[in-house]
Amino acid sequence: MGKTNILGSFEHLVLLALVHLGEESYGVTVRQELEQKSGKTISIGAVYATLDRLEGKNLISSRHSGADPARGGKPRRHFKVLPAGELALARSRELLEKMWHGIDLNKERPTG
Amino acid sequence: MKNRPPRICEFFLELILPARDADVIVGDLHEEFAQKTKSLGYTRSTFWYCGEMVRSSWPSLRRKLAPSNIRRAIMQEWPSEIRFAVRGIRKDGLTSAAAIFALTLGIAATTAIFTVADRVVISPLPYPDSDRLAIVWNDWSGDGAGRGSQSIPELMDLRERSTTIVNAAGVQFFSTSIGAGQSRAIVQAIGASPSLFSMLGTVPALGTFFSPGHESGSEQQVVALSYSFWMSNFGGDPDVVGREVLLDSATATVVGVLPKDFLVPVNFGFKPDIYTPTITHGGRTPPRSVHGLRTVIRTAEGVSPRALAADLGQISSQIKELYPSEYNETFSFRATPLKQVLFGDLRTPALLLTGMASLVLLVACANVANLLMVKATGRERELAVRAALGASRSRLLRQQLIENLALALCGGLLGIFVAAGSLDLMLALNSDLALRLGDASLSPRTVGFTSLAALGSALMFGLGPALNSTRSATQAARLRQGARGRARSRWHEPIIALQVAIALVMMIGAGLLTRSYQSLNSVEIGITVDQTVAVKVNLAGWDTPQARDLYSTVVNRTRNLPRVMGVGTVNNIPIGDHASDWPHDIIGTEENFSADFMTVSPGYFEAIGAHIVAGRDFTEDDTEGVEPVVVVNEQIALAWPGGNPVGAQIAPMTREGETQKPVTIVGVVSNIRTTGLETEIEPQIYYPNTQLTLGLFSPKNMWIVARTSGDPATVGAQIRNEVVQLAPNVASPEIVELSDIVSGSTALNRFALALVGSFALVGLLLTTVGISGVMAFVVRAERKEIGIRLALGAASGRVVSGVMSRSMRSVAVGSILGILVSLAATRLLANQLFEISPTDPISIALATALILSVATLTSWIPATRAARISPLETLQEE
Repeated sequence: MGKTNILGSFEHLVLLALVHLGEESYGVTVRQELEQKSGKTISIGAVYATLDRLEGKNLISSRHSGADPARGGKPRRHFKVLPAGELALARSRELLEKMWHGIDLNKERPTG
Repeated sequence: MKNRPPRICEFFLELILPARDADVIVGDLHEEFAQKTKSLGYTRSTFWYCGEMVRSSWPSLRRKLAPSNIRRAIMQEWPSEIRFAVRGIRKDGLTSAAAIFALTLGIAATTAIFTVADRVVISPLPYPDSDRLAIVWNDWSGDGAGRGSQSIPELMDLRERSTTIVNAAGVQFFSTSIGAGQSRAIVQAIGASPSLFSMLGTVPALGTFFSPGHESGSEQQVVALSYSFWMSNFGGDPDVVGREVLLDSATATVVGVLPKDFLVPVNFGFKPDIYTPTITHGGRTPPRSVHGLRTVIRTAEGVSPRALAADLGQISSQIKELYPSEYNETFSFRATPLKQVLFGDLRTPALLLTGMASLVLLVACANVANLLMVKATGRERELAVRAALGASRSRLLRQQLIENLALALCGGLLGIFVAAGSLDLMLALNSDLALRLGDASLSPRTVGFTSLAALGSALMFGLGPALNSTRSATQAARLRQGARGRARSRWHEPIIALQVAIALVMMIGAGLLTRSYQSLNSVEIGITVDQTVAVKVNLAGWDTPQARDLYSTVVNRTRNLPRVMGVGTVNNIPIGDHASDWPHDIIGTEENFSADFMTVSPGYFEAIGAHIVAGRDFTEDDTEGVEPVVVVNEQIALAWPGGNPVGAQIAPMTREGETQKPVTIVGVVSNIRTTGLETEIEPQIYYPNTQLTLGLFSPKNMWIVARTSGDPATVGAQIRNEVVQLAPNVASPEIVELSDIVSGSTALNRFALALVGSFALVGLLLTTVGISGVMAFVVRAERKEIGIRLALGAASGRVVSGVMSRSMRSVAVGSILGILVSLAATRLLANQLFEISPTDPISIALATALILSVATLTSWIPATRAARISPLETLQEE
């Protein structure tokens, strides 16, 4: 299997959100980014489940910051996309573009 | 501004979410919550937070509850958790033992008392639809409190005229003799309407009950046996039905045997030997004025107490109109629910004791909370290390909770055992209560209730300390701080104050009951209690002169026995029996009075230790032929117009209200308490048994009373032998020592005192455990500080007072609170107290002094120990 890291659709979205946010990516911002762009409510648990999975695949890394009084004394977990993650994104995009090639849904759809 | 999410939700998330993400997710939600409150406000944000909580925890929750995970948890995680818990309990052995002990006592006290209270207050009586059962009384005074018996015609009135009653049955108590073959025995009997058994849903153990024909008296006499009488006197013979026995002198056929657990609805404590049908002769005889029935009724379904009372009022008016000579203006029928008749007097004591037991449980729970807090604080360092090594808060919490649960389980199980034992002990102390309750074993309901209370309280009270210690542990791990402060000891002070207050309230209660019992015991009964014996003889079936001759022969023979100082007979023994009162006219005046009347023999007053105050005693010369005489008690003499009743003539009235032949008062005897220690002394008139002037007396039931300088039991046995010699067919007479009768009359007071006293002791003990636990904690937490102060030259006396002040302040606050509460609360005890005010200063002072000295001692011991801490050792520890 090796490097055939095919991203699931939500994984894809979460990774893209991390790229968008850059240095500012942690739980709250990632979720807000996803909710804003998709217009849907997303549970924080689901975000972390995906982030944990991505980290398990070595596509991203994370680090804890110190306890923060604004967060009830809890730490913040910051995420960063690893080169393997960027590669996986590029692959997925490539694959999608290949699959989309020559498709025009408006034309294909029967009109009658 | 409030911008913190609900802690309970945070706690839930920490517990449910996977350890890796829990802290971060809770932090993220916290941050978002703070943002949201700015735009949405607190309430809407809280709704949002709860929604988030459910959505984020759901996947983890589902994963955790998956069968494979549960299996893994049971196989792999729980054994280690339980090992940890056991290790934790053993490590703080003393504290854990104290917590278990506290729970055991708390649960035992509440379970035992709740069992009794459940029976008395909550449970229905052991009859079908028992809330429709009631007793109907004749209320002559019309004040709603009268409890007069009814007559057979009145029972018939209820049956015929009532629109709300579906069944009415009469119950009579009497004693008779039963003979089968050669043997004869005096038995306690109940006369019951045949419908009683169907009304109560009773199924015979053998044979049948009575039929309506038996009630009319048209059929041959029948008898039913109680289960125990059938066993003891007929050997449980299955062919007993159809056998003929002699009741007094008439033949009766045994028709059936009652079930083993049958309880007489009017009095659960009464265990009759046989049952006979109440014969009504269709209501024609006996006359309306012979009142000897207790009437048990069952109302129709859906009849309210008010409807029943209205119906009874209507019937009373009807019969008053029909028989104006039989009833006075105020007369009315009155119904009391059966449960109230049976347990009404126990209701208040039961509720009071339940309150007390709940206080004990409360002290126990406070103790457990305190001890768990002490324990948790002692373990901060260990928890901090484990948190630093990566143990999540939920893991630490779970472990603490498992430990507390284990403690609660130990305490709960032990408590139930102790409760069962103490319930037995309690009922053994008071056999009358045991009889009245019928069967009172621990019910699953009570056990369930108290176990839940204990588990719940241990978990709830354990949660605070567990949360507290794990929170500080995780924070400490993060902040790399290992120092321990004295901040958390602030928790203990209100708890100690609460315990002291509760213990003091109970102590004051116990003190009041003790003083009340003392004054009850110092009541002047008016007789010589010690060395006096009474023998009860029942000559059922004998005629009056025959019976009187037997008594005088026995009395004369007893008088000649060695060491006998006096002997006589009476029909109502002091304290034990209830005399009836009878109206008398004072001749030559318009006045009349009502007094208890009794028959005594010459020599009775001397035998019982009463003395003649004025005039003379009865003599053997007061016979039928000469002027009829009576002796009255001092109570009558005091109220007598002119002051001296000797020589005056009085006349008892007949049942019809007419005056009978007058009798002359020849003497005044000192007061004797006949009905009980707590009741007022009644006016009493004594008639000599040598002149049976009135038809009111039957000498067939008599007590032969003798005072001796030797052993009363021996004299009692000698009297009994004399009786049996003269009357071989009579059942063996009963021997009672007067001291036993007197102590029996205060049994309930002793019982309440024993219970309240032991509760107060338990409360005191628990408070002691609580204070010493907290003091140990204070000394441990401040060990270093004390060491340094000692090293710097502090006087040990100052160290002692410094440490002691930590608990004594709370003790002082608690004492004041306790006194204030008891001033208000002991009023509930007022009805149980005899000649002692509920705010008796002596009881309050003694109880407070006791609590204060015990608390001082408990604080002083660890404080002096602290002052002996070696400064060198404490400094080396760091």
